[in-house]
Amino acid sequence: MAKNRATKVRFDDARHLLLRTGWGPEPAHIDALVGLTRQQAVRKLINGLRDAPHRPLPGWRRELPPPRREIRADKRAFKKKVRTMAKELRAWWLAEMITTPSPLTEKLTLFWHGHFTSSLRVVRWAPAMLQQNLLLRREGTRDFRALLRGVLRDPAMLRYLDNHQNRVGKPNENLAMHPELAPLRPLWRRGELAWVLGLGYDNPNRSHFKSGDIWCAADPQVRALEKGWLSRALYGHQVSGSPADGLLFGAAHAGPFTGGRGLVLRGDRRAVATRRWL
Amino acid sequence: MTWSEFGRRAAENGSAGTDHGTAAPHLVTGGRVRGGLFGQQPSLPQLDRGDLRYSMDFRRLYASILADWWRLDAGLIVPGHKPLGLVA
Repeated sequence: MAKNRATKVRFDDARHLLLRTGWGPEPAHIDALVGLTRQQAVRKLINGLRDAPHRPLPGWRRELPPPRREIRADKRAFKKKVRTMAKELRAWWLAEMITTPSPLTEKLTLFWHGHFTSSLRVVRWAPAMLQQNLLLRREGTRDFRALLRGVLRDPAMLRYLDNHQNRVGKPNENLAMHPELAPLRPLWRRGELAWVLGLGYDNPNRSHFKSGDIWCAADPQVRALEKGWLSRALYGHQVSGSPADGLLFGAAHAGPFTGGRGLVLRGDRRAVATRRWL
Repeated sequence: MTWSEFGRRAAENGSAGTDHGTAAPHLVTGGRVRGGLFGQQPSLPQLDRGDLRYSMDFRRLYASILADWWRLDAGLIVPGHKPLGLVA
């Protein structure tokens, strides 16, 4: 590693570095890095990293959308204005990308824009998207935590993620649910998903085995799991002729069926895994 | 209904994960389940030595399954825990 850092940068190395941290470098920019050590070349890029655009911003940069009645009074004029500003915003960013002395800033801004996806097509109001772009370049060149906090308060992002539909006790899934939970969204929208919050018990045990027994027994004082809560609940309610009160899929441990009549199915793992809702 | 023996601690640990903790949310889903939020989300600023303070005893979830869904006497299995009305 230390050896790599001290390696002198040749023309091809410099070109490669500048292509990865920008777009289509000019020969003069490449030459400026040739002969430096790798560490010096990287430092030069980082030292030149700008956190604000170098071109002047469009005059409408802080403009707020007009009141609803004004929009209704002249819808065509409003739509035209929205379209014009959108075009100007795109032109402004492209020009910034082409002419910036800090292409790495543009690369980072584009990267964060892809990571925290939003779209002018949904947000529509170009000044809000411009403010988001400024946020991405300001915080995206520094500390991820500050960037994340900023994105969560960014008006364009809040609009894109339908925050205006969020209500206390009735969150909209786009902003309130982690993206990994996307497969659950249809259930949530159909009103078939309940979140039961903050479940636990006094003096919690942090051993997988001990706390697992407590949950299976429904008893924080349990010493050894002899009877699971389902076995206790189903005792006396057996359906006549049924060989079991429950099915366990590939379980090594009867869990809440401990001490009861659970039927364990051990089979091909893939066959079980393809059944999404058991 | 989801199951887990514990939640996680609030703060990140040395390997960019979280250690075994206390309270956790659980999910119940099904055609007759009443969708929505039940109970209170534990406070993140008000931790107990870095742990979330649980806001509902886990046995209340079981009481709901027993009473709301199966119409059993939940008091026999988890005495003192009021069903949540999870099932319509």
